[in-house]
Amino acid sequence: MKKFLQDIAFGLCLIIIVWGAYELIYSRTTKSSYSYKYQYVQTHRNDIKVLLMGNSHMENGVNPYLMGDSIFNFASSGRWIYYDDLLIQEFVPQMQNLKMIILALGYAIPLTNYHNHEIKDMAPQYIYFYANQMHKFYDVFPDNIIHSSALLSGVDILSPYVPQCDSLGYDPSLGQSDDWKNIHNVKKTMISDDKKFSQDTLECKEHILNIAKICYQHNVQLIVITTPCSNYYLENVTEEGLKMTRDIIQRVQKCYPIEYRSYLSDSDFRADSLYFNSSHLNSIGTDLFSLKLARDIGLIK
Amino acid sequence: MLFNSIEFAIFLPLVFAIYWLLNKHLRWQNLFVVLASYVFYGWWDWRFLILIAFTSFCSWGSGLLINQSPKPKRWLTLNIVVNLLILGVFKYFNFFVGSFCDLFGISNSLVLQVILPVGISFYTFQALSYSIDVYRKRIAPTRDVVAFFAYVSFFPQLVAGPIERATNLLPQFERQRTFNYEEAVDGMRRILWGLFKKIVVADNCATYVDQVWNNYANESGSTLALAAILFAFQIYGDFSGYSDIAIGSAKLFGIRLKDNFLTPYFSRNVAEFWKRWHISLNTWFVDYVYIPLGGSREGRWKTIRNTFVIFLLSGLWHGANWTYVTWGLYHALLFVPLILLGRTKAYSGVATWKQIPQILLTFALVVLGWIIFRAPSISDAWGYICGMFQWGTLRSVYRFFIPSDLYIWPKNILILICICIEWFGRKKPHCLANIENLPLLKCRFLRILLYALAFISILFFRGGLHPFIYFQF
Repeated sequence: MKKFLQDIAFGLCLIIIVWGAYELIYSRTTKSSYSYKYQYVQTHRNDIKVLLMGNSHMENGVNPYLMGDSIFNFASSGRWIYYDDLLIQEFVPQMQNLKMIILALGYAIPLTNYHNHEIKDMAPQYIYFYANQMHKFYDVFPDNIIHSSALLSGVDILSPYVPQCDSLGYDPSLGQSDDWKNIHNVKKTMISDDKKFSQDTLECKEHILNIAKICYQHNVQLIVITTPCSNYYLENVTEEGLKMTRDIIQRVQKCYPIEYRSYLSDSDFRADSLYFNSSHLNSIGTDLFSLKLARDIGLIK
Repeated sequence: MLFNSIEFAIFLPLVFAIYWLLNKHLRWQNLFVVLASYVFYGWWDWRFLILIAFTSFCSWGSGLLINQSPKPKRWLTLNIVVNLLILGVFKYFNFFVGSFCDLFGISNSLVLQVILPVGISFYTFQALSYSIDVYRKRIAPTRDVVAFFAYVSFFPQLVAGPIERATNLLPQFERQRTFNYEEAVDGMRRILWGLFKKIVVADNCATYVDQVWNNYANESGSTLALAAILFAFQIYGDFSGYSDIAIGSAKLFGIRLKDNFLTPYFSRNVAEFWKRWHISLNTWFVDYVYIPLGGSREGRWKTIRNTFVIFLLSGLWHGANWTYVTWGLYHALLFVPLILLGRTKAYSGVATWKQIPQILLTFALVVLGWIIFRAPSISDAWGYICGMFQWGTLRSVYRFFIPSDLYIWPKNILILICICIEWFGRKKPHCLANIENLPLLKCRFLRILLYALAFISILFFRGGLHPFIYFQF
């Protein structure tokens, strides 16, 4: 038994050493979409006129190339509005030519519990990251999203695992991924229990209010949008949930001038063929939506 | 709890440690096996535990009653009826009622809202084999209820086999186990190989196969043919991988389970394939159905009849769907010429290079059968097969070798690695057995390094998560 346990311990040590070497040699040296976008906004802060913010619905669902010049997609998969708020606080005051921010507010965002996900220390970052990877191994959407916190902390540990975006921040790779592709499957975490999240809804409102305030102070137009979703997703959308989102926007609108456009059930996006999965557009859907959005808000005629 | 899950990676070492700490107290050790197995099984749904406990108790009780009663057949029949009734209600009720209603055009209002308990067919057959063996006096009935419960519920083979016999497994629970270093190392190797087959080969194939099956009507013939071949590797990697992990895990506990697969895709005819594929189920049907019906002793026509019976039952055992029954029928039909020509026992030993044409022909026939098995319905199977042979299959066969064809190239290489390892290890009990005898791997530390690298490779090349196919049976 002793010999066997020694072998196991030795094998585990080897696994940890090889994994660590991989981490140091490859993971840490490979650029990710997150680090690329962060650096892009830092270096082009005076060139960008329109900034697209939000989560995967924006990152994979809006293509800046089709909307005009000086537009950058700064959205990231899995980002909760807390991080949009932090990034806007950090960058908007420095961006002298910024005219507009388009923020994607997914239907489930105000209803989703993303508490306790502010992780800035290295050790919890790693623990969360590997926990997240394990969740991926199970094909379960993680409860705590680390992506944006990794970006903010500068610990670029997600590099080899995250898809690479194009030069304007648009990431079409969701549509090529084998995983997650099932339009009929509406993930549990995308549709949350309306009754449970009053605290998060309040917090979400505070973040939007904060974003609206910064935009107002710096003379930047804020447009909040909800991207289109498939019929299968809409079957799970409740009136209470929609009302909660509308209420948040209306309360913010009482204080600051923000525009809200919901494309959630837009009649132009009812075909299944426009979707990658229940709530994400595929490349065809993205192109159509980008053009429609650009026309609606006056970026193109 | 899945074998390829984090829970199991924590569960197994924990159970291993406590199990060997209890080594001097056989009864407590067996009780712990039952407890661990019930935790493992209850991880899916604790309600299933009632069912498995009931099945175990009935079979254990029937064993004692068969031995003591002047009318043992009555108790055997009762136990068989009870077990098959449970299986029938949970697995086949909706199927038979639905089929009956479809046949006579009656509206079906008798649908039972029940979840199929994981692995019910496996442990029901295992429990049944005990009472039949007691009746046939092949084994003495056990009074040790804990050992019997451990026999039925032993977690490595509980949900997807191998279907063990009481004659092999039960005595192992009735005597003291001792830790054996070589056995444990071999068990770990087998787990590693099983994980490779499941996570790398099967799960990578599954992604492609599912994509093609979801849209088969619009795919080219060559794509359909390739997906059919990949499904053959998916189901093999999936099921034999599970068996390897089960056998390997059992070895860690000093328990030897029977082999379930012996490089079946190197078979030279269909009869040999069935001696190498899902051995524990096939031998079960042979021992408890085929031989009691007369086997091959009463002439060719009765042999053919008996073959049809066991293949139809085997098809039905796999699932409550006509596709499985048709799949069984298809294999029975493949057996007919072999019986008529007297070639059911034509081959012994392992295949050689010269026999590759026979191997390929057998493989092609098996792949065709897997299409029926994989299809959601008979009409889908037919549509798929027709699509596969449409004009363009041969014309675009070169696409097999193009790396960009739906990202299949890396998967082909992984399958190729698997085939090579299995081919060169086909004479051994499993392909990684005795690798310490290889000149380069005589050093213990080098071997451990190789295992560690193999484990990391599995994590890097893993496919998407797909449940074990045989869990549904």
